[in-house]
Amino acid sequence: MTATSAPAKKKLSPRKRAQRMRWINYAVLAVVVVLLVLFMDGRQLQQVFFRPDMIARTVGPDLLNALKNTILYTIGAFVFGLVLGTVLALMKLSQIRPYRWLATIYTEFFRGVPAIIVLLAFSLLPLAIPGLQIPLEPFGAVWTALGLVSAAYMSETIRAGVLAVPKGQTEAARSLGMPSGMATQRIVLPQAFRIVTPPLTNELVLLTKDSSLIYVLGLTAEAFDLTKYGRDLTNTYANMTPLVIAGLTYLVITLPLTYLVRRMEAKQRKATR
Amino acid sequence: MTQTIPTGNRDDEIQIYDLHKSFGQIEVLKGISTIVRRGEVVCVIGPSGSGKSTLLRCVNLLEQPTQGRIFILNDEITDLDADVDEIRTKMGMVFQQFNLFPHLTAMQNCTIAPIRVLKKDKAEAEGNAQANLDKVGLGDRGDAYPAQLSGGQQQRVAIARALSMDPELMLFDEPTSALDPELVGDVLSVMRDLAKSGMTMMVVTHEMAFAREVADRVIFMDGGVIVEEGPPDEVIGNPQHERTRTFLRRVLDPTHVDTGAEDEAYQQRHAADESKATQGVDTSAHSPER
Repeated sequence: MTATSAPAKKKLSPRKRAQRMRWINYAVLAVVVVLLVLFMDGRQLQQVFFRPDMIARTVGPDLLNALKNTILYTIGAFVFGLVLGTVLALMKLSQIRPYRWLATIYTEFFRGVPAIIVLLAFSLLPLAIPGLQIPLEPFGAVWTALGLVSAAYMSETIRAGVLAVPKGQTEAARSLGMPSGMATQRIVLPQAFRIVTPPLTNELVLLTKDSSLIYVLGLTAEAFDLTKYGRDLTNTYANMTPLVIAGLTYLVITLPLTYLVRRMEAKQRKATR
Repeated sequence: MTQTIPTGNRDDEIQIYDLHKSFGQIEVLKGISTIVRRGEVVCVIGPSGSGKSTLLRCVNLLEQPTQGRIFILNDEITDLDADVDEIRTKMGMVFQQFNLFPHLTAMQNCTIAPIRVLKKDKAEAEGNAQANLDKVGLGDRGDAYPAQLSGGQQQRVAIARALSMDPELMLFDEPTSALDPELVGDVLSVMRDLAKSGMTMMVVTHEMAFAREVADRVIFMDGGVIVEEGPPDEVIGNPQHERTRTFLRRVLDPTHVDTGAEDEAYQQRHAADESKATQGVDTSAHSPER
C-alpha cells in the first residue's frame, strides 16, 4: 500500500535497529560521566558531603545510640502495627458487617493521612486529654503513632495472606472438631503469615525509614534517631557530612532486610512450584 | 421409603431425612433420605454434578443444608442447638485434595486435634498417632512435612489424621480422584483394611471395583436424587435404571462409544452415520466430535 512513496532510506532490520539503540545508550551514558567528572569540583564536594573531620565527629558512640534508637522505634511500631493489623485483617474477613465497616474506615483513614500528622497529633494528645500519660516517653507515642499508620497497610497484606490459604485447610480443621477460632489461630494464621513474611519485611523496611519522621517531635539527645542526630550535627556545623553518614547508616538495616526478602521470595517460588 | 421420624436405633450412625441443598437458584440435592448403620460401608457413586460430594459435606455440616434433618449417632447435627464441633469429633473426613496442614509434620497433623480438641496429653496423642501412621504404612514418616510426601502418602496421612480422633465413622470424599493412577492402590488398600476392621464408612468414589468389592451398599445418585441403592452386585452388577446403566457403561468402559440412550436424537444421528460409514461414505466431517 506504500508502493507510491519510495523509501527515502534503506530500512534497518529490527535487530540491527535494536543494536544501534544499545550503542547510542552507551554513548550518551559515557558522555554524561565524562561531563560530570570534568565539571565536578571533587574537593568542594568532599568538603560539603564527606569532610574527614566531620566524619570523625559523627561516627562514634552517639551514632551507635542513634542507630539503636532507630531500631527500637521501628521494631516497637512494627510489633504494634502487626498486632493491630492482624486484628483489623480478621475484622475485614469477619461475618459481622459492622466489624468490616470499622476496619475499612480505619484503613482508608490511616492510609490517606500523612504519617507525620498522625505523629504530631499523637504527641499533642496529652494536651487534649489532661492527665493522659503516654508510657515510655518518647517511645510510647512513636510506637503508637507509627504503629497505627502501619497497621492500616499491614492489615491489607495480612488479609490477602489469609485469603491465600486454601479453603480446604479450614474445612479440614473444622472437620476435626476444631472451633472456628482455633482453626484460624492454629491452622490458617500460621500459613497466612508464612505467605506474607516477604511483604511484611518490606513494610519493616519502609517503617525503618518512616521512623525518621520523629524529627518533628521535641526529643532529648539520648532519644535521637539517626536522622535527627545527623540533622542536629549538620545544623550545628553547617556541613552535610553528618546527614550523609546518618543516611548511609540506614543501609546497615535496610540492605540485609531487602536481601532477606529476596531470598524468602525465591524460596517461596520454589516451594509453590 | 422416606421416614420422617428418626428411628432412635442405636445402630444407626448416620440418618438423613429429606435433605435439600441449594446453591443460589440451583438445587443440588432434591430430597435425600438414607440411613447408614454401624459397621456398614456405603459407597456413593454417580456422574459429576450429581450432588454426591455435597451430600457427604452436608453430613458433617461443611455445607449447611437448605432443608431436612441429619442425625449422627442419634444427635441431630442440623439442630440449631447442636454442638457441631463435638459431633464432628466423632466422624473423620478425608478430602479429595488431602488438605493436610502443610506447616505441620505428618505426626503433628495427627496430634494437633487430639491435643487441642480432645485435650489428650502429648505422649498419649503421639502414641495413638504413631499407631495410626503404622496402620497406613507410614510409621517411619512421622517427621516428614506434607510437601516431602507423595500424593498417595499424603492421603494416607490424612486418613491417619482422621483416625487419630478415634472416630465412630469415616467420610471419604473422592479420596483417590486427585492421585496418580499408580498411587491409588495403596490408599484403597488402607481403606479396605479399615472397612474390614468394622469401621462405618461413607465413601464417595469413582472406583467401581473398590465399591463392588468393599461396599455393603451402593447408592447411585443423579440429578440430586438417589436413583437406585442396594447391594453392589445389584446396583453395579445388574442395575435396574437406565440412568445407572448409562453411567456404568461410561465409567467401566471409557473407550466405549457412548450412544447416550436417553438422548434419542443423538442416537439416531449416530446410527445414521454408522450406516453411511458401512457404505464406505466418509462421514467424519459430519459426525459429532467426541
